[in-house]
Amino acid sequence: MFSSNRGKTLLQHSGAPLVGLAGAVGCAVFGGASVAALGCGALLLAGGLFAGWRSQRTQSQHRAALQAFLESQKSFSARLAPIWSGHIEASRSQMETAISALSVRFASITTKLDETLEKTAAVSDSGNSSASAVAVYARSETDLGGVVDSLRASMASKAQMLNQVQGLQDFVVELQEMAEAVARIAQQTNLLAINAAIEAAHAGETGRGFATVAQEVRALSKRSGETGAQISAKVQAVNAAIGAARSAAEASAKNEDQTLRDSEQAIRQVLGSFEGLTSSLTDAAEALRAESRGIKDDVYEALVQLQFQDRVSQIMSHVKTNIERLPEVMEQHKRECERDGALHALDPQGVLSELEATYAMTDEHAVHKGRAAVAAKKEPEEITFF
Amino acid sequence: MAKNILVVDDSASLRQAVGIALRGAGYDVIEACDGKDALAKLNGQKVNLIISDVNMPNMDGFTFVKAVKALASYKFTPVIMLTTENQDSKKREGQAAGAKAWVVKPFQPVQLLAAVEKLVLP
Repeated sequence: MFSSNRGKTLLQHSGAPLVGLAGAVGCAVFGGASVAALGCGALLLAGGLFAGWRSQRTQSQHRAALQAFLESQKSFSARLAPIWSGHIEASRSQMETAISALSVRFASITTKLDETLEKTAAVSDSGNSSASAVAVYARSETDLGGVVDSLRASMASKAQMLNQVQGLQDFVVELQEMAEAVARIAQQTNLLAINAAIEAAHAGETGRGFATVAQEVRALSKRSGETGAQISAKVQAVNAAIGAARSAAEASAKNEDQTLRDSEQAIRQVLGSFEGLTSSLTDAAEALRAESRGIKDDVYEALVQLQFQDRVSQIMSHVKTNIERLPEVMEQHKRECERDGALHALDPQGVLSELEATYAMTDEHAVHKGRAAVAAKKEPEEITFF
Repeated sequence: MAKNILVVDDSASLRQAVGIALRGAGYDVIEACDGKDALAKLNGQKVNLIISDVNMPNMDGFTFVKAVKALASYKFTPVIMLTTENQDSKKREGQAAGAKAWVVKPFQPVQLLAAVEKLVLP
């Protein structure tokens, strides 16, 4: 099937003895049984036999040469085909291994990228995550606001207490007036006692008892006066103490008010810095997300491009299988030549048809038909839905 | 729970490429190197979609799809053929075997994911 143009048969090389024999018979028939005719016939027969022997020898040499040529052709393909095939398979295998390793790396990159993004999102997202910086900021603002409110409430309570202390001073004034009233009463009682003593003296013996009473009243008046003075002194001491306490409380309230203002300012500054940090973190995370999306797109594009390996691998496999057919084709060609005793030209059509039958891609058909070389970059085709 | 997708291809790098695209979209991927290996790996477990190559050793894609469709558990499992073949005759053969879509390599991950999302079982 892979040979054509059949040559001359070997029968054409074995006609000489027959021609010699025919000549000898002719001489005997047409020359009668004369010695000359018989001699001529014998010579012709001998010549024919010699020519036949020569022809056989040539034929034998030709067969041997043919055999050697066919054997060399078979050996040529039998030795070359496995080596070519081996190299193709080794290249295909190396490419497959390398591209697989590369794909694994890409897979690892995308996985790590996703993990990083997930962690970043947990910290920077303004969503529901309780661990996010935005959530922590909001919580801190509320908590610190609560502390300031507590301080304010405490200060209000102290101010109320100060007012109550101030109210005490009014009582002290009243006490002071009461003490003065006691002193005045004591003074008047003393005058009364003096008058009573004078009147008792005028009464003589009968007024002696009354004089004693007047004396006692006078003593009581003196003690009342002293007690009034003591009360007054104590009230003044209490007043001074209340005044001091009020001054101290006022100073303390002033200090606390200043401290509260300082605290509020410090909290605002801290929250401001924290907000700036949160904002920077969110911006950085968004930038990271955008970059990651870009990297993922690049990885996807690389994946598309890496698929050339599958296409090249298939083409190499097809060529390899076809090359591996060569020894068998040469063996068949040898058998056909031996059978026909002639050399036939090798016809590549059968092998090419077998190769063509394995094609899966348009590119392979194009190259087979000698059309334009394969484009370097293949655009993905549309998807067909059934 | 993530959806399972079986990817059948004799090219390890292609399986990786498909795996990256699918895992990136949140799917779980089971890989098999040919039809025979795929049938062994299915082993009754639920898959929401199958993506299969056509030309593979041991058992080609068409034979595999026919075999898997003959199993009661996978009768309605959608199949996407992912192959370098682009002749209409082959596409018809794939449709007859039971495939729902035909994607020619090289595939674009976004395009493949769109097809997957359209066909994948809930």
